[in-house]
Amino acid sequence: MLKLIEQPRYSCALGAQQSVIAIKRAVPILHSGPGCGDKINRLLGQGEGYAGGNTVPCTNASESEIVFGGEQKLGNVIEGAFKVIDADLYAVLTGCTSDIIGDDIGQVTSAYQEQDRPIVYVETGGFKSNNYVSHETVVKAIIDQYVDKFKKGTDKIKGLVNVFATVPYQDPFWNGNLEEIKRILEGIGLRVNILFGAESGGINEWQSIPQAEYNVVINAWAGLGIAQHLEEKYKTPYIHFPYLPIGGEETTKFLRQVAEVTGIDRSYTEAFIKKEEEKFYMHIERMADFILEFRYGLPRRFYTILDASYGIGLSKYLLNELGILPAKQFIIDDTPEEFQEAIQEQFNKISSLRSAKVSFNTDAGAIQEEIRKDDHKHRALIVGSAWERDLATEIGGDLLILSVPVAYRLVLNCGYAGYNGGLRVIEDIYGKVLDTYR
Amino acid sequence: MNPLGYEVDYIVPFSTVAQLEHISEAAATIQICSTLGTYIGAALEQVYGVPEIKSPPAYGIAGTDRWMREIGRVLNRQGEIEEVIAKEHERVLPKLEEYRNKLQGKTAYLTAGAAHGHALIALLQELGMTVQGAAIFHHDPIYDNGDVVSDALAHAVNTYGDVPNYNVCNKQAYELVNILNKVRPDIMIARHGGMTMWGAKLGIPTLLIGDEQLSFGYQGVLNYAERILESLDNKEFVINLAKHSTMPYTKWWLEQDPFSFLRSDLDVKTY
Repeated sequence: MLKLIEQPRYSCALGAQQSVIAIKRAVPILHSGPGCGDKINRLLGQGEGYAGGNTVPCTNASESEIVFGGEQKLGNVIEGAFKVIDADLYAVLTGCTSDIIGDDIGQVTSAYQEQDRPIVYVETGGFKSNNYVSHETVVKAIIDQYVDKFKKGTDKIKGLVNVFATVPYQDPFWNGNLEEIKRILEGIGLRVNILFGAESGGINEWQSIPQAEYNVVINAWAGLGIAQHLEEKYKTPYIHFPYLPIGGEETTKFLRQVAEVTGIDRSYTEAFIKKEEEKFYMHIERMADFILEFRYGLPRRFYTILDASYGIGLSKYLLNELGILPAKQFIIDDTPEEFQEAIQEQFNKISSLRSAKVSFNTDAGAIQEEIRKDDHKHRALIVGSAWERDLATEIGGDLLILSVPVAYRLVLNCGYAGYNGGLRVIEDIYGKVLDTYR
Repeated sequence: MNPLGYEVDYIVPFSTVAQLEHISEAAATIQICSTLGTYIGAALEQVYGVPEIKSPPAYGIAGTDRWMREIGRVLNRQGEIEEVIAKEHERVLPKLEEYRNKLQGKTAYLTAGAAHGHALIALLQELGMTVQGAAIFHHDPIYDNGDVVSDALAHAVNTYGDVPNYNVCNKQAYELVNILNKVRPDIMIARHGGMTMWGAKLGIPTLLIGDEQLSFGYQGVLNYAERILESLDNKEFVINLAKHSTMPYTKWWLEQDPFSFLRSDLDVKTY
């Protein structure tokens, strides 16, 4: 039976073009129809960056490529890209049409790989997966086809870790989150390959991936495959923290887990945690009277319409540190079934006092309908996307836009992870709440 | 009041001068805060003969009954008022019983001004809770009309029993912290800002009643019970805050008698 999915909150597999764009001086080369890249950029992208958006080279494959094959045109576009775009890494990504007709992009690209050009290829035809999954596929391809060849060595560097957290651009706050994660991991004495965004060392960092002592996966499920691949390939063990740590409690828990597994100096770690917690809770203490005493209405229940990593992390934070009670939580990332039980378990023990209801649903239209039907006796906070704006108005609730499409906010280095991110969450929620106060 | 055929003019905030021109012609004056409402109520009665409803404001079932009957008496509508009372009892009492079962034996500490503080003491006891003490900002049981009928504290004590640790203080946070630390109630209820922090920092669920209308009348008892249950349930925030917050008061002070700075050699009684 046909099923309509209204308002999916992710893109097709080709969305992984944004993961390439998130690497400094890397550029995707699309072998897809005209418009695919642009559509993804409109949903996920905010700003073209170095060579994203309309700068991305594309074969604009249409009738003649589909009828007669597009390999030759791909070759031309790759040649052209090498000539006109100054990049450290090129990633050939396919769209649906190429994968359907079966163009051999491996054969086309390997010719350049044989000349030691920094180029990789991945089949990301839209029907293969969503972009949470294809992010893994693309990163694995870069590791296998580029990193392995250009690696600086395989000897482990003491204290070096690779971090795989949220999916760049699919998480609108990816850059700020990665900056904070790098800051706190360095804070406890580690060296960090953060790999994406402003704080990364670009392609140099990628070349030292095999030398890391550990891979750190901060995600409910997306990215685990990368760590498992690296474990097989370079015998690098991995640490899995199954959600985004937000605020004092969870960030400390995360750092302690990393410190324990990596065996770094415990007292150094604890000194950093102490300093960070002191700062964090000074602010919590400072605003506690506002939370307790503001008379003109604060949200008292929350819904999250988020991916699993954010859904868990944010729910724990809103309940345990801000005292907002969970209504129902919705996970919209099309979580593979094998991971759902563990995620469910996180919601079962969301605090020491209660559990929260969660459902896995990719149909955000149906989710909105469910929320709309609830009894809205108390003011609610919705943490979702820009598409929840009308719903929030309708139920007299507040909205924190956190998931794509963000549309009504501009995100630069704002992040919600870690100690600093926790404080930003508070500012952003209550700033909007106060804005409704007349 | 509308079903009885009366129109209500809410004065003085938000009134127009034109409205105020007619207040001397009203059938009665009802005040909902003895601290702030009795002055004009008394003046209207003394100067223009507008009768003032003198019973304490309608908080709690017994309090609301008394207030309703006083209105019935002053307006000479006893029969209709009794009907309303009976109907409301039928509606509210079964629900109240459910809340009472849930709240039975829970302890509360209260800080508020005199008028609302007295009302809340009555209300909490009505709900089956134990009031472990109260810090009331001023002591004015009888107001401008000088009538003992208006004594809300006497109403609370006579109807529901005595309140231990009843303390009249001019919003002294240092005393409050000391007391809360010793009393450790299940919930602290505050009527005014600036005090809730001290309950929360000690890990005690704390409720600020910003809207005094919430608990007014028969439905108010139910509203209030619901709000208290919600506050008792929402512990995560205060547990976390207690774990991580600082305390500016010295350990020495917290071990002292909360009233040790009161000059008992003067005209002050401590207990």
